[in-house]
Amino acid sequence: MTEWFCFKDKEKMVEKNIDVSYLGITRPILGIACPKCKVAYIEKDIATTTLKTGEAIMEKKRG
Amino acid sequence: MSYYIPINESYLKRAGAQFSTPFVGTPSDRVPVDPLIFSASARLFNRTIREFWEGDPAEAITMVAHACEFYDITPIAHYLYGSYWAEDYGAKLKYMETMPPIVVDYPIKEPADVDRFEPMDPKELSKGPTLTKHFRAFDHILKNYTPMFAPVSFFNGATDIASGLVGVEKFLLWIMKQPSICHKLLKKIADHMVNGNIAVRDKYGAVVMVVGSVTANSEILSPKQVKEFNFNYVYDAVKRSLKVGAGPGVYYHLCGDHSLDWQIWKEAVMSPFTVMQIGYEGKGKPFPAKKLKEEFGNKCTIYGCIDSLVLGQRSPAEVYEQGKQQIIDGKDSPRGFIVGNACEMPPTTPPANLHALVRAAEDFGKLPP
Repeated sequence: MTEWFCFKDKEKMVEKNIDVSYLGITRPILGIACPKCKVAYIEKDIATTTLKTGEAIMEKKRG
Repeated sequence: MSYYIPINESYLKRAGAQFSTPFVGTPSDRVPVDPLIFSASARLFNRTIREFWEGDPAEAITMVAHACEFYDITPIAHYLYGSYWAEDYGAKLKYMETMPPIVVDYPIKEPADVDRFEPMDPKELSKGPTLTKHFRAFDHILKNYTPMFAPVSFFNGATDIASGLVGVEKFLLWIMKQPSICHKLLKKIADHMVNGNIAVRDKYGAVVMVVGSVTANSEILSPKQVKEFNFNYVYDAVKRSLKVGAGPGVYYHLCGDHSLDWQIWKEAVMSPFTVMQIGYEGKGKPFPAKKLKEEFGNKCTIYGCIDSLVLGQRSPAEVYEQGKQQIIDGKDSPRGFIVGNACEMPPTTPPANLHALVRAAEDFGKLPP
């Protein structure tokens, strides 16, 4: 993976499942997180594919 | 005149709602039952197990769809078998009377064959024997039974695909004696898994990938070996598949005994539509739904199992009792619960036994409105 570092802590970000919420539903998605301050991000390729499709499915199922 | 009567619309609506509940929290009456039924459906329509697997995949999956309605289980028509992909790389399959097809001639016979082995690209795979049958089945469902369609891809673990190419005994021997050969092959198999997911994505626009660990279980490998020779490659393949939009469904099917290695899977790559199924915690002991809920319930949807031997060979009363316990223990899992069987529903399962599991879901799996 591309190496990302936490700007605040200068720690190397680690790959981790992080919880995201949409339409009141909380589920995990693979992201990166700072091991020290726990700030987490989702990389662009996951956000624009898996997450986008997931949102569409939830919208459809939740009406 | 069609052989089948049309699927009941009210069943589709009710069972469809049951299936959505674990993933998106929409209301339904009870927990869904999804026992991984394949050729067990054939006996309902006076066909043999061999006819199911050797015949037209469209006909086979049609039997599955109608069996779902018959038993009042999850309305998703499945089609897959354990020796997927081996034929694409030159293996010979043999159709059996009592089980899915098995590999009788493995394409990788010696370590030098691993050097020659190249994963097929998505276009090649989509024209290969495995996906030709797979797409034939799923196209039929998409066209004729649309609400029962899910865009599944099937791999299990990298070790399982390797075992289908090398032979399970030889591959396990290589793990012990020539691990570098195994890693060379498994790396290529991870590429194959990504390419297979891309092929299904290109066909249907989304993928529910069935991955996991069958051969790599606690009866055969140490936890360290499970991680090194299976988990790491599954992790890589799932991650790369999700990054290219070949998701978002991830169904972890950990068949067999995972009493010593289940913790490894807590680090598995997850998506918003992830299911975790762990078959057994020791011989003949289904992985407790209570423990599954405690360890995975705050991560993803969990799938509680009953013992395949109980479902296939014991009494309806025993099925009901085992199902009851798993349902009571798992149904309030925060991210959803499904009840089913540890692996493929045994083909000769008495219909009364699956009915007993559904009854247990009706009696003990009621969900709040």
